[in-house]
Formats: sequence, structure tokens, C-alpha cells
Amino acid sequence: MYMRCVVIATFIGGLLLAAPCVAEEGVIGSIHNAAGKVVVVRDGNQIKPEPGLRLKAGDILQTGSNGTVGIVLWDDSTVALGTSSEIQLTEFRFKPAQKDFSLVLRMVKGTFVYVPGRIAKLAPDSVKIETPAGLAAVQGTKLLAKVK
Amino acid sequence: MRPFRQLALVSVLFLLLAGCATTKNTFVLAPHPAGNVGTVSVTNSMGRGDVSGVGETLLVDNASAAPRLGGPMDQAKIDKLFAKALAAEPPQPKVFLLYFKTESADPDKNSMTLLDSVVQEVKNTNSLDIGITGHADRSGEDDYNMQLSLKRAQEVQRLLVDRGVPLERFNIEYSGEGDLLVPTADNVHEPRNRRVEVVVR
Repeated sequence: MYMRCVVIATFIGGLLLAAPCVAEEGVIGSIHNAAGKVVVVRDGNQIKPEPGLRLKAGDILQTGSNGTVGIVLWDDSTVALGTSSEIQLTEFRFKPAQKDFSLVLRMVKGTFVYVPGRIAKLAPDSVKIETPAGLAAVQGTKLLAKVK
Repeated sequence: MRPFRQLALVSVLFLLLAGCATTKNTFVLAPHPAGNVGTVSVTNSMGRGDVSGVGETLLVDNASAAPRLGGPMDQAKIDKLFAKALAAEPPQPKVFLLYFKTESADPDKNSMTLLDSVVQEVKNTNSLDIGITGHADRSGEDDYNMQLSLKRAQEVQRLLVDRGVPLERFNIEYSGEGDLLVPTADNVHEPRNRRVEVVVR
């Protein structure tokens, strides 16, 4: 969003510079639910994942032996983690006006439920689900994955 | 005999460890929450596997082993493996489209009514993450439409805040005439493109 605001401001020669860039920089989604032990690791720091917490590209989510977490990304894809699981939200760009799309998720270990969103619909090749077993691709359906 | 027995024991241990070390990665295709059934594939340097039926599985020992078909997984096994993750699955975000008269940032009459449904959905799901994206049609200049799409989004946010939804739950984006619902040539009036999309997540 920040980038988009910069682009727009340049494009119209400063007319919109005063307009608020309402979205926080780099936000890509939010925590929907979290139970048990769950941490979000951002730039090496641990954040407690309350529902509604905004997520950023690069965030790592980890669940403990009794933890689960569900998130929604801003292209309306959803991801849920079972216990003892870890995922990195490596990359996310969703800018339909610029036709700029990218979603890279790295499922490190554990169990996952993934439902693809608009990026998968608009630009299927821009979605990469990395797992220890290789790259997974999902179209128009729900994926259940157990990886280690 | 003794060295042989030791060797045998070591061999058995090795086989056991090798068995444990075999990484089993399991991918199961489930129906989309909207009901449709699509495809899942897994690709690594050794090959690619594809499935397209409900419950069908792909199994991969590790990144140096080709994905292979595992056949259908029954519901009991799915529940056993994925119950916790499935319980944490968020509901699908709900999308509302509000429409506007030409050059106006005020939602039309039907869309004003729809605002009540948005508020109801926010209440029902206790949504903390509501996305608002403003759009314009291609009549008028690009920069004017960019501002108009922002004004529309801000007006919808104001109307929802007026109806009791806390301000901090929103994020606003705007695309001007860059993301059309109905593609048109430039300077074409198209009511369906004059819209604000509200996504309740």
C-alpha cells in the first residue's frame, strides 16, 4: 500500500500527497483466531498473535504442541496451522490495478489447511507453496498438507 | 558368532532408523468451502504428481523422491491427521459490492441498504479485519478517478463507522480506474465499475 501511494503521488504530480495512506505499510493479512501456544516471529522478535493482529510479509508463525492459528491474507486466501507447525509468509503482493501479484508461503513443518484466494485465480503462476517435499500448487480447491 | 550378532543388531537398528527418517509428506485434496473441487499438484526435482478428486492424496518421502499417488483418504483418517488445523480454519471472507452514481461518492439507494448487511456480517463473525477498496469507471481523467475512488472508499468507511463499526478494523485501498469489474474503453460510463468493494474477513 505504501508503495502504491508513492507511485500514485508521483504519477499525478503531488496532487494526492496529502491523501492519507490508510493501510499500514507492508500489511498482508491478519490473525483470525489463535489458541494455545502460538507466536509470530517478525524481524527476530516474538509477537503474541491476538485476533485482528495485522501480519506482514516475512512473518513466521509457529504453533506449540497445543497451539493452533488461523489467518486470512488480503487476497482472501486462508491458512490454518495445526499443532507443532511452522509457516513463513515469505512474499505477498496483491495489486490488481498494476497486475502485480505474488504469494510465496513456506510450509516448514506440521499440518496445514490452505484455501487459495484471488492471486491464485488472477495469476496462478504467481503462487508458490514451498514445502520440504517440493512445490505444491492448488487451484480452486482446499489443500490439507502434513509436512516435515 | 558374537561379531555377527552385533552386526545383525546394528543392521536392524539402521533399518529402524532409516524407516523413522523417511519423511512422509502428505497432501490431500478437499473441496473448496464454496463447494467446487479443483486440482492439487506437487513438483520437485524428481517429478510431479497431480490429483483432482476429493480425498485424493499425494505422498512424497522427501524432496529427492518423486511424488506418488496415495489413493483416496477416508474421512476418519483426514480427521485424525487434520482435525486441529481444520478447527482453526477461518471462514471464507464475505464480499459486498456498493455502487455509485457517476462522479458521486455517495452510495446509491440499494447500496445504502446493503450497508446494514455489512454491519450484520461484521457482528455475526466478530470480524476485526474489514477491507474497503474504492473504484471508478473510465469516464474522466485517471488522476480524478484515483481521487474519486479514494473518496468513495472513505465515505463507505465513514458510513460504517457511523453504524458502530470501530475505525481501527478497517483498511482502505483505492484503484481509480485501474481494476475494472467490466473492462471498457477509456471515457466509457459503466455503472458496474463505479463501486466500492467491502470484504469482511
